[in-house]
This record gives sequence, structure tokens and C-alpha cells, in this order.
Amino acid sequence: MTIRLNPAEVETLPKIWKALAAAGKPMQSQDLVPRSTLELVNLRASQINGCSFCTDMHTKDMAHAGEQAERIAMVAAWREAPYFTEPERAALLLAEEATRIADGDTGVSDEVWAEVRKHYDENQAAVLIGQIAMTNAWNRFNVILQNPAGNYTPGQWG
Amino acid sequence: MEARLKFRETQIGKQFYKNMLANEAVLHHGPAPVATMELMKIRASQINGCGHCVDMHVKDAAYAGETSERLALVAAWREAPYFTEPERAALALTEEACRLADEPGGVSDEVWAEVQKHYDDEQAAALVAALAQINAWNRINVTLRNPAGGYDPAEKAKRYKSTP
Repeated sequence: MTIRLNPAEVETLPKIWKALAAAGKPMQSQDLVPRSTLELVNLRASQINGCSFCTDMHTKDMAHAGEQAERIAMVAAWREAPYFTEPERAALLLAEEATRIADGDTGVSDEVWAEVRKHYDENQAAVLIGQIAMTNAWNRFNVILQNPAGNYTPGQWG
Repeated sequence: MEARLKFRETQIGKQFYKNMLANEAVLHHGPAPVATMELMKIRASQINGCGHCVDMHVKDAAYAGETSERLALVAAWREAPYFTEPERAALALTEEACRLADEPGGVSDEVWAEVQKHYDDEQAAALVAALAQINAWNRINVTLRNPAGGYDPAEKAKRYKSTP
């Protein structure tokens, strides 16, 4: 399997990716929301969008950061799992509704937003939204381009 | 977290559960590869959001020697290098057969042709039966909010070993 557009040949692609990565910096560089929570959000969105490349990357990043195998395995069906805190569950709820906004769905419900605000202040909620937006954007690139998964090494992009 | 109803402690639930387990034993000792059926069970349980079943089948698969790379990528397997062509056909079938709701297309001819390319009729029947079983389990466990996390894979392995 090969990527549909080769970033080594199509020079516009790495330019866009660089800008997109820069847009993700505010979520990464602040300690407003735990990194582990943002990774749960990244993984859940990537699973829903069927993004192999991102699922490979985030599961490896999580394991590298010391995340438990049980928690990683259960992100795809987290509701009845005993492994996630109430704030993490609120973030996962938001990730699911915010990722499934396509055609005919009703967006993010008041119930889910209330759960989010119970556990996160305005700035933290903004980080969550930013992270979900970023992950969904990366998912689009990698799914559309059929970017092959399996070669990621944690820390390869600094 | 507690299940809404102790299904196995009702008379109907006890009998139903026994019959479902008998079906599982037929499939376990049947013509389709067990490892492939585990991948299908994990994928179906992910799609149906069944925590209890994901916990069980990830643990069963790991116990049987499945790699963590493959387990992590079942949820997004298409661009992953870890799955064989027969496994990919089984996973494509799983996705279409799980997402039947309000969808007149059901399982497409393309997906079924891929299944037939890699499996004979006996094996294909086993795969279809395995999907029917896991979707039934998913319904029970999701509807009853059966808690996840307490599953021990050694018990099932022992049961299958003692009933060849």
C-alpha cells in the first residue's frame, strides 16, 4: 500500500502539514488538559473515522507515555469500562458527538456539553474542541490519502 | 457500575445463554480460523460500542498470542500492514453486516465476492454465524450495560480445551 500523494514529490503537502502542526501547538504546549486525556480524544476520533495511520500513531504514543494496555484497548468501547475518570468520560462523549457531525446528525447535544462544562472550565473546553478539530483534520488527510500505517515510532516528529 | 439485569439469573436468560454458548463451541471447533473470528468479534463489538465484549475478545485474542499491534489496529485496519487478504475480507464483511440498521444495501456484492474469494461455503457459513452470534451478544450486553473489565480469558480457554 502506498500513499496516494507522495509528500516527497508534492511540495505543497508538507507545507500544509507544517501549518496544521503549528495550529496544534496551543493544545500541546499548555497544561490546561492532561496530555493523556487529549490522547484518548485523539484515539477515539481516529477510530470513528477509520484512520489507520492516526490510530497506529496514537496507540503507540499512549503506550510510550505509560498508558495502560487495558485503557488503550477499551477506548473504542469505553462506556462500561471501569478505567476512565468522569472528566475523561466527558471528553470522550464530546469527541464522539463532535466527530459524528455528518449529514443529518444533530451536532453536539446540550447534555454532552453540560457534562463537558461540569469537568472543564472555558479554557479547558476550548483545548478539547481544538484537539478534536485537529484530530479530525489529520484523519481527513490520512484517510483520503490512504496513508499506510505501521511505521510510526513515538517521538519521530519531536 | 452494575448490569441493569442479571440476565443469567433469569430462567429464560440461563437457557438462552446455554444455547448461545453451545453455538460458540460449534464455531470454535468449526472450519473458520479462530483468530480471524476474534478479529471479527472485536470489530463488531467496537462498532456496537460493547465494552463487555471488547474487553473479553481483546483478552481472548491476546491470551491466544495475538500481537498488540494487530489488536490496536482492528478499529482502523484498512491502511494497516498487519492483516492478510482473507482477514481483510472478513473484517469488511463484519463492518457491513454490523451496520445493517435502516440501510437497504445490507452486505454488498463486492464484499461478499471478497469473502468467497478467500473462504469456501463451510467457512463462509461459520463467519456469518459468528457475526450473528457476536451481534446478539453485543445487543444483550449493551442493552443491559454489562460492566467491562472483569473478564479472565483463562476460564474460556480451559473450557474449550476440555471439550474438543
